[in-house]
Amino acid sequence: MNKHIFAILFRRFLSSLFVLFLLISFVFIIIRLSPGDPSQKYLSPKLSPKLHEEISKSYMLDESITKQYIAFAKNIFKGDLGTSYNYRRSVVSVIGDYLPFTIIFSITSFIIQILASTVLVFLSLRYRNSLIDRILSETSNIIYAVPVFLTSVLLIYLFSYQLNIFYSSGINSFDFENYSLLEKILDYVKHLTLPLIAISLTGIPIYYKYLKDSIVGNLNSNYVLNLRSLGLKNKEIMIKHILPNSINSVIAVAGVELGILLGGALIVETIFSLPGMGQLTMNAVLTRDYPLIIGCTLTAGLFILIVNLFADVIRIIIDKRLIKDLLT
Amino acid sequence: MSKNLIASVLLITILLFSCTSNKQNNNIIIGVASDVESFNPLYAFSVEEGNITELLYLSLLQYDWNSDLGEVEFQPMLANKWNWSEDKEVLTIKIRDDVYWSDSVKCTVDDVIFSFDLYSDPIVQSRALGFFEKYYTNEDGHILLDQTFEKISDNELIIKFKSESNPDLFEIDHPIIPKHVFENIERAEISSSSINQNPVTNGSYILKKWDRDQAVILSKNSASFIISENSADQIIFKIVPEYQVRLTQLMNGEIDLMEDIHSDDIKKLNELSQLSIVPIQGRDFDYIAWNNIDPQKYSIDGSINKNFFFGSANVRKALTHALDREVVINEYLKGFGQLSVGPVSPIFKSLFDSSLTIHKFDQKLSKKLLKLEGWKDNNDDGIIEKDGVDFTFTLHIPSGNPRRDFAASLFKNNLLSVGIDMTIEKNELGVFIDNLFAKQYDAWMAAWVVPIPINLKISWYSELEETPLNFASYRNKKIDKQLDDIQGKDNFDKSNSYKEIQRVIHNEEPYSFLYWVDNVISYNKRIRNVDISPLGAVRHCWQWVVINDE
Repeated sequence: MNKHIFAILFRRFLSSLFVLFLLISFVFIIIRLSPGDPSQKYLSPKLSPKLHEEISKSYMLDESITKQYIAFAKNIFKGDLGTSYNYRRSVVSVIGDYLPFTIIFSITSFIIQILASTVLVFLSLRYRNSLIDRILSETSNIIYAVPVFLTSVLLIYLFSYQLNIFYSSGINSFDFENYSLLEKILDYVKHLTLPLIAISLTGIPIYYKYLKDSIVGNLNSNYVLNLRSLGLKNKEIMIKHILPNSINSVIAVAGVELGILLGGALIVETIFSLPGMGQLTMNAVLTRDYPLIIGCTLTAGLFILIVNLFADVIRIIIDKRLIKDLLT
Repeated sequence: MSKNLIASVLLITILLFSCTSNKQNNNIIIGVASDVESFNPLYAFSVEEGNITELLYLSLLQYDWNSDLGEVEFQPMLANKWNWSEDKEVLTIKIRDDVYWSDSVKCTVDDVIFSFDLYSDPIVQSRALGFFEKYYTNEDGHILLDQTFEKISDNELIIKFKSESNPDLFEIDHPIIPKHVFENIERAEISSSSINQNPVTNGSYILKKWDRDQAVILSKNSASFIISENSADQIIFKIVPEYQVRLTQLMNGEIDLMEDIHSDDIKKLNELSQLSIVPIQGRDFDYIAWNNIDPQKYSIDGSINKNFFFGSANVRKALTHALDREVVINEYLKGFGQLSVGPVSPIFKSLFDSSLTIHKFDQKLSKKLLKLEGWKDNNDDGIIEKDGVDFTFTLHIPSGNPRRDFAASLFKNNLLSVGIDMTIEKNELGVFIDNLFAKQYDAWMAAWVVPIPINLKISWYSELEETPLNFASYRNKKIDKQLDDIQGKDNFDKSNSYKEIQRVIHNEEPYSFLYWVDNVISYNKRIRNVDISPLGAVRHCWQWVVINDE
């Protein structure tokens, strides 16, 4: 068994490296072929055209794409992603500033999504086909349909402007260092509650729908009928049989969703002024910061591959029959 | 009992959770849309970086806006005395004796010389590169130090300019940086040095903390000669990218000052007694540019041929007369704008030609001028034509700008009334700018920000290769002569030259100058001594005072 999992991991590792290299090479070429020029911001009535010339030279923008790509590929194999045009620092150190927040924020939000959706699914199942079940289903559809920017602005208007309970931007207060531990925790809560609600509301309906449909599908299956006829208790059937069979599809979706979250939550980060990968990527794209765009793409791609791999391993542990599918 | 318990818990929760604003402290919080990239004035490219470095570093001089004269007035700063030679080619400067860097090293004229050396060095790639034409320089624009500077003492310095270069005090308007810090860093490495994030400064405020994408916190440098007891303890630049969130924070007191208020929100802010609203006029104007040359032929072989549609001044004037610009001012800008007549703002009172008359909204005159140029609706399809070609064209606008969307839709209908079929195409900003430089568009709507000191050469000089910002490819020898003369004339002649340029442009109408758009600022009345002028709102913040009693 362990040998099989190791084989999967090794094969996935090699193919992931290849996919990542293809991904950043593709992005490298696409951004250079797209309109826009990173040195454009140095053309202004307040600046001399001479500066623009110097900057273009130093960015190698006066060289052919082939020459630029060769230099880029050489650096990649040395582990050097280059220097950000905007930040004038190495891409790795810039991403290092933004990544910790994104990881903590994404994982917290992911846990909230999973817990909330699971609780709601069991509530729904307990009162199956009742008013509560219908209300939960309809509400989840509505929340799923409302765009996250609208949810965010509404939350700010209600809880920040009208009630003045939570802050509308940032992750902590200006004098955060002077706070006691309890005050610091409270300060984080005041700052991060609204963005966590906003981002979590996008995922809860997805997990709710997947998990509920999957459990209901299993509940109506013949094997559950058979288990009941053998005298097993409902609780035992649910924990030992229905849940393991239902959770597999949810884990696959969760892998994709967490990977996307780790790539950055652009809208929520922008509205709530959070220093995450989404905002960093967006600014890099808008300002044509080529090395940083590639760095952000690589990070997002890496997370999606790792999380999906992790999800697949969990699925195999739960259902060993999947080994064959994943190996082939 | 249980009700009381629930009520108490709720009350405690609300008290515990309620967010305090900055109303009872001596800090000022300025809401800004984007973070800075560097605290080094060599690389202060954005407005925010300029505002912050003004507080961190001293320039030799500071300047204020004299609204009566419509020009800037220089005041002492690091330099407390200055004196021009009779031929105005040599400037003697005395700097203050009581200025120290934040690491306790004394600031001397060596720092001044070193700063100009760095600003002009091409390897450093500073924002001032290429702006030292009046100094003695190498071919690459690097100042020749021995020929230019003469150190008299630690506090006195002579600067020699090229003969007949007619320098003014703007030539020395750069923040001074510490020699003892930067001389140890390779010049090519300065832009990426960590010192740019942990600066050694000599200004009115020092950098206390920088939380990336959150806030830049500056605290009062009590040792600074320009700081008074009443100056704010901290000036905080809070980064809030989303406009609506910034506005909400201004309204609930989380931030004290915000720029670029949308005209739709002014009424709402006026209802809040704690806020002041002040417009800055005459720095930004919207225009529609009519490409004077044929873009297709230019892109093929660089040849310059008259644009079929917009090559004639009469047609361009007809287009301006066809546009009802006042609708945009009244309905979209809610009165926070003024009709524009040319590229020189009325704020420059000595340079602006007030005798020029606005090209009024007059569609009869527009039709007459078009007819004069041979544009007639011969086939009665509602669209005028000439040589069998219908007058149809595409107006390009950058996407994501509601004001331009509004104006473009209005102007499309205006032009249809005189028989011109205009299509609107929105382009992503990067694409839009790329195409401007490639001269790909026939017509586009955009804006110019007028720099202080005014600089028309960069966008109106005929030499298209040397003047990349002359997007409309307008070429006029009379204007070239005046622009060349401006560099070598005294103030009176400069004024005449600027007025002559405006008259020529007004007669030729290479653009349709639309309107000056006010930058509306709103700030909390707890801040006093805010001097809002065409130079900006966030300036000289050391003079700002916080009053918390009201």
